[in-house]
Formats: sequence, C-alpha cells, structure tokens
Amino acid sequence: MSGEDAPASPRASRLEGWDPVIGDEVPLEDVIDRAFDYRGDVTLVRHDGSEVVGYLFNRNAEARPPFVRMFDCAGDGPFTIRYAEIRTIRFTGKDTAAGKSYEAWLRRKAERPPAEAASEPAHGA
Amino acid sequence: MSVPVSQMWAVASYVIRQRIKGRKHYPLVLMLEPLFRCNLACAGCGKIQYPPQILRKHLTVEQCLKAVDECGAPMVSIPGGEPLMYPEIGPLVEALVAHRKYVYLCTNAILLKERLEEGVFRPSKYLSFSVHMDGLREEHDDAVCRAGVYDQAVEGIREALKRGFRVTTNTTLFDGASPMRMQMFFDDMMDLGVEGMMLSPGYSYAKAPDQEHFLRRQKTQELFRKMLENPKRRWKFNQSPLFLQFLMGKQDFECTPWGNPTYNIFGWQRPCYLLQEGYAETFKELIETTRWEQYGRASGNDKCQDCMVHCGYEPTAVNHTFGSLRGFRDTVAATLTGKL
Repeated sequence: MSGEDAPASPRASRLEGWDPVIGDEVPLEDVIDRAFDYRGDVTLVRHDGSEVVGYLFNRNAEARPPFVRMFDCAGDGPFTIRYAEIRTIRFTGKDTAAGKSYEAWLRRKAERPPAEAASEPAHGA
Repeated sequence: MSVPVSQMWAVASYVIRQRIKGRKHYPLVLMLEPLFRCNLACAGCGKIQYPPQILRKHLTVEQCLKAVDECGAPMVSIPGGEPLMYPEIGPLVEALVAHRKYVYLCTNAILLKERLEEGVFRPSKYLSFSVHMDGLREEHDDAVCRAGVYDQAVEGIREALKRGFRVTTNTTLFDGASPMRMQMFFDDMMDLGVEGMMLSPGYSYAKAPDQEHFLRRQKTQELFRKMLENPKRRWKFNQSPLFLQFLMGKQDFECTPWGNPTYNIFGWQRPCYLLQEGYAETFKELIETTRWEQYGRASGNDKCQDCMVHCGYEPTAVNHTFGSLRGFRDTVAATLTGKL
C-alpha cells in the first residue's frame, strides 16, 4: 500500500503494510497517531536514513519537543525519538489485533468435534 | 458485604486522610500489570494483542515497588496478562504484603494449584487471590474460549482455601448473561467457600476480538436489577454496595478515572485502566497532565458513554460513602441488611 492509498480511518487491520508518504495529505502527526494505535511493529525512518524497527507505544504531540517512544524488535529500550527527526513510519509488522474475530473462532469451533473445538484458544494462545 | 474490617478500616482512614488534605485526585487501587503475557486468549480481552517482544517483557520487582510508592494507594490489584506467569510473583507479593498493601492477585487460576504447591505464597490478611470466573462452567469456558478452565479454577480455589488463603472471585458480565444462571453461580461460589465475589460489566476494548457482546448501559442495569433485586443473605460481595446499586440503576455516579491508575511496562497509562491514550513517566505527571475533564460520561466522550466498569465507578462509590451522610447511611444500611 503506498502513501496515496492511505486508509480513510485508522482501522488497524488496514494499516498492515502501509508505507505512507508524508505530506500535506498525510501529515506526520496523523501517521504517528495511527502507529500509536497499531498493535504491531513499525519501521520508523529518520531524516538521516537510519531506521528503528519495533513497537511504538507512546507519543506526546503536546510535549516540547513532541516525541514518540519505542521498544525495538529485540525488546530493548525504551527509545525516545523527537517528531522532528522522523521522516516516515512504515507499518511493517503483523497487526496482532487483526483477523482474530470472535465469529471466526465460533466458525472454527463449530467445524470441529466438540472436545477438540472447545479446547482451541480464540487466537492461538 | 465481605470485606474484612481491617481492610475496610485501612481504606476508610486513607480516604478520610485524603479528604482532610483536600486532595481531589487520589487513587484507591493501583492496577499493577507486571506483564501482558497470558496462558489464555479470551475473546473479550484487549490486553494481550502485542508483538512477541512486548509479550516477553515484564517489570522488575523494583519497578513495581517504585510505582506502588509513587502512587500510595492502599490496595494493589495485580492483573495482566496472567500474574502467575510472572517469574517474580512470589517476591513481589511478599514485598507488597511487607508494605501492608492489600493485594488482589487477579488470576485465571490455571497455575494456582501448581504455584501453591511450589510454596510461592504464604497466607496473609493482605493477600487475596481474585479468581476470574465468568459464570457457571459452560459460560466461563465459553468466555475464556477454552474447555476445562472452570474446573481448573475450582481446583485452584479449593487448594488455596485449604491452605488458608483469602480467595475472592471476579466476574465480567457480557450481553446474553442469564440472571438466573448467575444466581446459581453465586450459590456455587458461596458453596465453594470464597470470601466474596466481585462483579463488573465488560468494557468494549477497541482491540478485543469480540465486539458484539458487550453490555450497553440500559441492558447492564436491567441485568443487574434482575440478578440482585432480592439478594440471598449468603451471597457475599467483595465490593462497595453502592457500586452494585449503581449497576442496578439505583445510584447515579460519574466516573473517577484516576481512582484505579494503571502501571505497566509502558509507564502510567492515560487516562484509566480501559483506555490507552498515552503514557506518563511518573504518577505525578499522570495526575497533573491528564485532561481529566475529557473523560467520564458528563464529558460527552463517546468512549465513556456506556462504560460502567468497576475501575471508574467503584472509587466514586467509595468517595460517596465517605463524602456524604447519605452515602454513608446507604452503605451502612446495605452492609447491615444485605439489601441492595
């Protein structure tokens, strides 16, 4: 998904794979808000070209200066990165909240023998 | 009601001290989440959808105790994730008990018997296992999306009671709950010998898989009225009777979002246990910089309109008890008569 295909609403399931091009139509602040709401890893790209891959768990647009906070994909951190350093954020990780509907679990449960079906966790715990 | 007198006194004296000091934003229960990892994946839970490196992380005991000191609340609830999967749960609980904090260890109890046999915990008036039980066997196993969990929990409860531990249950109610079957469940829990039960309607976490089955306000009141209109004397509830009256539509309360602040690997969660709108690095920062006026039903915030969950409204009920003669009178009357 390119920047032109930016989702109209921050539905997490549509964000996976999004590679936004920051500009007037897709402001950085909006992308950061969506990354904060996203339950998967992202790749944060700095203006100097360096990247941080990991989970973005906080953002504060009202702080002076505004910042995001991340744990990297090894779980190290938290790292604080200023908005001013960020060129873009790509939604590269799997959305852990997507595709695990209750209905899907009920369907799978109904298709299997009772004992086996009942012992299947809703989403793979 | 089943809260022990010493605990009631600890909470009452704490609330009165806060009121004398003129503190408006004081916490009642710290929600301490040492980890998000869980051995279940319940359809109504929005707490565990994270990438693997986040699920592998946990707080240190030192971080937990620092949060407890910062917050100062007399009670600490340890949810999660599943706290019995936290490798330092024994030392953490021991330290909290040494700090004379009333600890509610909220567990699905799958690992309870095993941990008790390992000698991880010692009985104390400060420690209560708050076992997640969403109803009778069928309803509970359905809510946690796995068969056999109800029986495991009952086995854990029996073992804990046998060893002299305080045990309570916590029950989240979803749409479709049957008042009559819930009453049967209350009887069963009392037969088991638990000290008391805690009830709350569910909250529709944006990240929870099951978005269809959360109760809306009117339905909540209807369900709780039917369940609790004529409560049996033997049913013991380990929570404020005014909160139960609120759930029945007999009290009109506003949310106290700072009442049960939440601390986890990300920091102090804004604004409450249920909404994740950011994190503060210190408790002071949480209290001083969160725009509390943007939350609660009166604020008009859509996310708060149907919420009647204990973490926002039980602190209001407790404040009401100690903040007005009517509140105190209603609480005493419900406690003495058992009527709600």
